[in-house]
Amino acid sequence: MRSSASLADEEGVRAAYAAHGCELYGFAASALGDRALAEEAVQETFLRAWRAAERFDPAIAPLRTWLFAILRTWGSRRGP
Amino acid sequence: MTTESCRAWRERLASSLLGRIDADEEVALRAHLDGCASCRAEAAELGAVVALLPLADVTRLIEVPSPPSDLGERVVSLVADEAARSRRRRRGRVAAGLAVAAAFVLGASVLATGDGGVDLTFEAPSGVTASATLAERAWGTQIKLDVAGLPAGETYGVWLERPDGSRTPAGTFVAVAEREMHLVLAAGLPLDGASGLGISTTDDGETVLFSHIPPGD
Repeated sequence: MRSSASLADEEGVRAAYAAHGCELYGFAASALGDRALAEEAVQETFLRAWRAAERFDPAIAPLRTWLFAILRTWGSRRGP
Repeated sequence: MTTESCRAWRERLASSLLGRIDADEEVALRAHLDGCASCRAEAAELGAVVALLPLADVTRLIEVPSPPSDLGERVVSLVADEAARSRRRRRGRVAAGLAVAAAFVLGASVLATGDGGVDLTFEAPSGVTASATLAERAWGTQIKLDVAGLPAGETYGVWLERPDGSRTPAGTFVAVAEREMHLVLAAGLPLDGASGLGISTTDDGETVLFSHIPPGD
């Protein structure tokens, strides 16, 4: 069963980006110090969030927290 | 003791410390501070913060980078593309959840990509699709693995094999039903040090999928 109304489809992703995209990008750009990398990070974050939409449970963490967790995980696994 | 008037004075404290109140008010504030120990303590604390303000990098606060205006659309089309791809793949797939666990080592075809990465295609049993792309990274080898149709709920380990048969683990995953899984895994072994990519169950270590990696050029 899919617990997330959002993120399950393109409209959900669009809404999630509208709500959190700027903030994620700002965080990524500051942390990475590179705008192109930050764009890649944000794209990858939403793609992964969409792929993992089944695992998203707003009762455990709100969407914003979840997206930031994905972004951080991606950033730390990416390596130099 | 803190009184109602203390509240009013404290609102002016910060302005005073920043030199933004006029002389009369400043005198009145001093008079209050002389007679009020708790407001003096507050002034001392605030003063310490104000002293540190010149050290703050204001540009970092002001220049919060904003994303390019088309980034949102790029994100959505990326997702739409992948959704379309996985719908196509699912149509081509036979019934999932077959007894792949009775595993046999499978043949695989290999294709070197232009940028030094290596594409591996597994000849999977019906119901299972798997392909992988390996890429050399400074820290080792990045493995992009697309797999679908493995029995749901089973945990699998992914590893790179060296020519001597020893393995470097690249992570584990739990197979899910319904959708194709796209995994990005990392192994701390240079691509040219790996001779094979394998996927095995973590329960009994049985190899489910395996592909040889051709020696690099």
